[in-house]
Amino acid sequence: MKLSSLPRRPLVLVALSIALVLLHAVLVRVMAQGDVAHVLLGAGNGMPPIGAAIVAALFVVVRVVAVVVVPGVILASIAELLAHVVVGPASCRPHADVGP
Amino acid sequence: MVAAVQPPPRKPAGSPRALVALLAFVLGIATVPHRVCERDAGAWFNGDAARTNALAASVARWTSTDLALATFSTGSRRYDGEWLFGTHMMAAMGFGQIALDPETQPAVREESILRMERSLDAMLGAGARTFDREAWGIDAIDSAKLAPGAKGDTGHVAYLGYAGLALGLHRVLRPNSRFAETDDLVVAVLARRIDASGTGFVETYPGEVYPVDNASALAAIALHARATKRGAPPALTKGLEAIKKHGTDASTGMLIQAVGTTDARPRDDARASGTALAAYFLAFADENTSAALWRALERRQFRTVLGFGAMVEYPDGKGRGDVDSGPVVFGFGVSATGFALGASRVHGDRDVFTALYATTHLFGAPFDDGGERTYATGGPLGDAILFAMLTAPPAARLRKIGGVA
Repeated sequence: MKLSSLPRRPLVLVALSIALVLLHAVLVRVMAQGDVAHVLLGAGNGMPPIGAAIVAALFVVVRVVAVVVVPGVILASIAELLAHVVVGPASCRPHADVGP
Repeated sequence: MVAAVQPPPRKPAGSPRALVALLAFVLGIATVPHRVCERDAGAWFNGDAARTNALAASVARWTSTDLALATFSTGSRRYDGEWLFGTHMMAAMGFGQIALDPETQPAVREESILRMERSLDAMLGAGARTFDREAWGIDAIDSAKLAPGAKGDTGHVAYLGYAGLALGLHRVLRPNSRFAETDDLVVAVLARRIDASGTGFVETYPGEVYPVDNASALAAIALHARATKRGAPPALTKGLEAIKKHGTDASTGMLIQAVGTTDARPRDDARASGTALAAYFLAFADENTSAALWRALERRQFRTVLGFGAMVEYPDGKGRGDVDSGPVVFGFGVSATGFALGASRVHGDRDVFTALYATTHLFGAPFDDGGERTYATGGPLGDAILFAMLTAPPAARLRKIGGVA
């Protein structure tokens, strides 16, 4: 089976998931330097510096998506690809029916 | 006749293919993430040396650098000071707890005690005492040297209690060291101020009483008594009674966050962050009181979402949180969840510890590099707190301190 014959959606989702995991790895390294880490813990006391808060919030969102959502997306994508291989393309019906 | 063009047949709304994909997605997020995140939990619970040594190395690096008030950014000079002090205090507890573990190799034990002593020096240094001195107008250690009953012989329970607990743990490990005199001084003044208190509580700051801070003072007094084999002073019993009678909410069994200075009436809710930290502290003072707080906390506030465990900060799940709770997200408290790791380890609750650790891994974001582990979202304070909580000694080990079986 050619790669080009596979449905695009699951392949795009898997590619995005991999990109997100790589972005996550970079962000963990940046956060581990500790420059913005305390912003998260200090947030209970009021509004933190906006730049650091954005980096910290972005990191948390990316991490939650990378760790929690990505496994589900990958599993769903695999299921869709398997369905394509086993059952066939999702839509093989004619788009128009020309009458007499 | 013109050919009629018919619209394409509509796809059924819930096709089997979409349903299978949805089920796979749900299966993926419900079964994989928490198992990935909790994979280290068993090793931490069992006191695996590789894990503890890696985090110890990271905390040693943080605390050997020039941490200062400017390192922290709470927006409050007092809280920045508390965090500087708290970083060194929690680091000292973590190093001490590693040294207390009978499974620890002798060389690691010696290194841990040396690291603990560096943290104690920093904790007792002028910089770490600033937050307390600025609040009271007099230094905590200087106030301890005042004549009993003199003006100024009052309060400072947070600084003296937390410092006294770390000094007490060191006293257990090294009964005769250069810190012994300070330990004696701190514990004597804590006991004296509890004795003199009408409520059994001592103020943290002028006009502010927090039972959790008093719990640290009771732990300091108890450890001192067991390390020196001198017997516990009456202040320990009085303080524990105050915790049970005035500091514990009758309806929830949890620790009230703040009480009045003269009447010990509640000034804040019973909250998970204070309860969890007090359950950890009181394990060094009175196992039963600690266990009662832990059971109440675990029964009422512990929840799991997709296998991730966390503590709800407020009994009713509502509240914005503050610097003690850290961010409260959907009712879950960051500090409460972190402190509960320590309390669950003390009381041998492996399942809760595992679920809490999964959440800590998810939001703490551990990063391993060069034999060190740091939790990326924690920074120096977060690493130090997790270090103390993840190495919190089981209750059975604490029972043996001072030769008490």
